[in-house]
Amino acid sequence: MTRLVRLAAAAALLLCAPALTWSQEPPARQYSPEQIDRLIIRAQSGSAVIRPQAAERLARIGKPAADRLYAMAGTSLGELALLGPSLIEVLGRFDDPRFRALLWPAMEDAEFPWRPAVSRSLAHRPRAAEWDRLVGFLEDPIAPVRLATLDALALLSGGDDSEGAASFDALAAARLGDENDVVRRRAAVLLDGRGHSRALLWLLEDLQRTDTYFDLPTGEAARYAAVNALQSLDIDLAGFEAFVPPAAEPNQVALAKLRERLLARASAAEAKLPEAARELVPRSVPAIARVGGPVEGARLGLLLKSCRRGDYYLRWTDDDQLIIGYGNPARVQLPEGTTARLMAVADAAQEANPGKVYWGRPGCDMESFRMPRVGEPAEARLQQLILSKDERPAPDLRPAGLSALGAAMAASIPGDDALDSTDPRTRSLARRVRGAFASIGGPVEAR
Amino acid sequence: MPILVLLLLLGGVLAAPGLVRERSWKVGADVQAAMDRGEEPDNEIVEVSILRLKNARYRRGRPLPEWVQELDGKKISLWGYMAIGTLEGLSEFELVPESCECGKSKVNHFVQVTLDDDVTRFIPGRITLEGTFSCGEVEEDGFITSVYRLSTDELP
Repeated sequence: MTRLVRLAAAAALLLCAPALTWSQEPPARQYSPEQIDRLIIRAQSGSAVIRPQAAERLARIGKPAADRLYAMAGTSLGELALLGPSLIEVLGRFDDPRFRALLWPAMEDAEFPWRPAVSRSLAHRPRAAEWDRLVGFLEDPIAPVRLATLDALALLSGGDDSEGAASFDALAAARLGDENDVVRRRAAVLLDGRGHSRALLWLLEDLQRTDTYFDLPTGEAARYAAVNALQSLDIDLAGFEAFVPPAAEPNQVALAKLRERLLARASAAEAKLPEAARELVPRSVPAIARVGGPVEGARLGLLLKSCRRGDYYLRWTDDDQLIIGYGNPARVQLPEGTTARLMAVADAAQEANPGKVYWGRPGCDMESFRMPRVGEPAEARLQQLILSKDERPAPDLRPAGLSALGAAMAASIPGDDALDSTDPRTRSLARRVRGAFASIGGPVEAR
Repeated sequence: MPILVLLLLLGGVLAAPGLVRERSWKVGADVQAAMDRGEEPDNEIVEVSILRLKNARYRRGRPLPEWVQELDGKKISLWGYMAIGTLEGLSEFELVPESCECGKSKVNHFVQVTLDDDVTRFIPGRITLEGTFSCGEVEEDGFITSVYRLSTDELP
């Protein structure tokens, strides 16, 4: 009887569903200009969690919302920027050429504050004529821009044009060596879809990661992302669990099974590829994408996240190594005493700002300095001082003590002739770090 | 036919409370079963990774994975970072897996923390909190404002 009642309930709910859906999402014609304006305000200045939802709703409304947004976006990049990232991100969904004409100059302006949102907007429905323009952004300093560009090119190469497809495959294969693991994973998944399934071995590597950037579990995050990516391809994970350490026996067993499955998938897929295309994906995973060894004795850290200049993860160890990146980071030996000298500058920065740990206002740009607390053992939990800002310039945001520390950290980075120019993490590193500093809390050189 | 539809709708109304209880997101099935048996909820603290919560399959209007529902109403220990820009003197803040989430806050990527006997001060760096977890969509004006919540006494 209970089962019968439940069946009746389910049927009733099914019958009611269309009506309920209809009442939640009225068709576009029912939105008044005032309602559209209210949604725009929520998408601009609602809480961080509401903004994207409001923007999504506007995208579903269609032309009435597009017309209102176009009137607001104006003709200058400054006016476009005022829409904010959530609205900019959905402009491409309207499939309106007026928005593409607005978005492209923003994409090509390195100082535009919302380029990740712009790139995702343009990637929603890319045009074939935009291919050459897009390709250049695969080398963009900002990882989300490279990621969206890869997606856009994948969409463009999905047709019957075999020359375009081969060209995309080569571009995606090059991204398997990207400095950002999110970009590498996306390249691997896209390549699998094109018959280059050997690229999935990059994900297998991520499943074995346990690396951290201080207390940030970058390896664990990579394991979850790799699991999600493999599941999106309907690949049986053989019981692998991302929250369990990869060295645990059940995960070791799962990894062995998964390796066999992925190799079999790669062989089967490669057999269908033309002979010349079979070597596109390297036979071995490059160092940048491999599991890294532990980082011991990191005493100072600098994490820069710039919406205009990209992200930098740097650590200085007590044996004077500069550790660049995470995962399997690049390691550069510095002159003896470098870390000790930097720690003295860090002490001075803390003493000049006792008790203060945060400067600025919420936003995408962030400088995070990690250092031993003054008077505590270097092995104790590190102090973290943070600056953050939104899209508006803040050239004097950083206090003098932290500017001195930033300048000393940047000065400790070896010149290009001492660094591996083939590694995207170390190429022109000092210049790029100074550029990121300048775009967040202001230049770190003597003013 | 209209009579059949009416009967089905009536059946739905009669069965709905049972269905809601069975699929409740306020209390997980194990906790609900224990409460039905008249037992006190288990007070053992469960360690949960915020990354696991973030990566749990979530789609609006769909049930959360069983393992998340099982945590509902339980005491958990959870690490994370205060979202950049957390204001001082409030009783709520967002706990996120990385301090800079860059304005793309998905509703299942943070835990809404309520402080019962404390107010916020910005703490940079990773913190670990213990408290009572609850999950399920909270909706305001048609927008989902949280999926995961933690009620705790005070900041570390």
